[in-house]
Amino acid sequence: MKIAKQIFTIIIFVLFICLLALLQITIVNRYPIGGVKLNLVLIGLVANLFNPHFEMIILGAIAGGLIYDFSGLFNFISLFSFILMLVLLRLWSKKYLVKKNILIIFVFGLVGTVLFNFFYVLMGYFFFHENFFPYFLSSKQLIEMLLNGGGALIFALIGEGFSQLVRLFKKK
Amino acid sequence: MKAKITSSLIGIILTILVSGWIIEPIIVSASAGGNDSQGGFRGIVLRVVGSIDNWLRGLIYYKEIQEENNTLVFQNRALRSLLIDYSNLKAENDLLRKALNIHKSEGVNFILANVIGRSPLNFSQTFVIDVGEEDGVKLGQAVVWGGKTLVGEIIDVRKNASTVRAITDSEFKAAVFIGEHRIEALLRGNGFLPPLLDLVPREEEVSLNEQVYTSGLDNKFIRGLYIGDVSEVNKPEGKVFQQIKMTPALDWTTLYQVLVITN
Repeated sequence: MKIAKQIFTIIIFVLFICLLALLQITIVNRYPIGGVKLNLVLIGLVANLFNPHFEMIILGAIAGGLIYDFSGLFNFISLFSFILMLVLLRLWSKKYLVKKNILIIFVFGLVGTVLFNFFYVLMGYFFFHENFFPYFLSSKQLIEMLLNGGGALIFALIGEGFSQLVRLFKKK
Repeated sequence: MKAKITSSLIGIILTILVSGWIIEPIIVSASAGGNDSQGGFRGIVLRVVGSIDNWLRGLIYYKEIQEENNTLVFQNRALRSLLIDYSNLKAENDLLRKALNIHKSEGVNFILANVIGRSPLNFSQTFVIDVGEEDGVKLGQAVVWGGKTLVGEIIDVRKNASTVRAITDSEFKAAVFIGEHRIEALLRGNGFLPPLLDLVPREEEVSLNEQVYTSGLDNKFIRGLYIGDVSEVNKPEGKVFQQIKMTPALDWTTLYQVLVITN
């Protein structure tokens, strides 16, 4: 029963990330903020970084990354950048963070954006000779970092509020 | 006596009715220049009789009329949905007519393609179209829309889909002419910022709003594909070349269909 519940949670999470990826390539893509597009999949993944089931987040990253790659350059860079970024963030959060704090999600959003973009630019350059450095070194990336950080914080707050509500109902 | 009065009254009424029936149309047609009209006394009578007849028919054939009404309502809805399809087709036809505004004498062959995906990230300005190797698409072919306006180039071809690099992508480069004087330049995409026109010597006079179009000197695109207009010209001190920015004629993010030039 417990395994079935866990599988159900994983499926729901992966579907949620797929929905975010679809929203990204349809709606968000058309409305850049300050000339920069949000990264909804990154926001969704980072907001769930404190989730004890890390394999679930990795599966979400695979699903979201694949959707990004299929609608973009078809080179699977997004997929590997997401996975690398998540592993690094997870290791970092496990090693140095003593207590879970919701505000840290904002910092994770900032750092996650830098890491994702860094891996994306690096892999694009080494494997496909694509030069994305001008964007990586521009002020636009700072805006993207802030947007993704803010987005991750909002997502985490919504999630936290929802789980608090569930707990309240369960107590009653 | 009473019967006499009654019969004479009936006689008068009948006379009026008959005379009205026969004489009135003659008068009306004479006054209306021969047009048969349903106005006047005869018209009133016919309308009254007609409405009574309809009412009675309605009573008798109530069920049949109801069924007929249901069928007509259904047909009306079906026709309305068809009308929406027709209006969509009309809009698409208008768009295609506009897009096909390429002179036949230039011998340009093209394939119509639908945009099926846009790059979700900030790095690349690319989109995916639904034509590929099987449709005759090859690497480096020009993608245009709205007559002869360049949108981008094919950078990846698969069986049934291709990836197009838009002219705003930081990796896009093309040899272009500026204005009527055909000043040579190199167009470079600049991401979300306006594309740049490079390698224009300081001595050349470039004015604002001059048209930028492909020169064909790079053996990449045919000559004369319109790209956009010059929006900013700077001549920084101590530099060999001018800093020129341009505004693209088309915003690729709003396109749903494009044409791939196959020759």
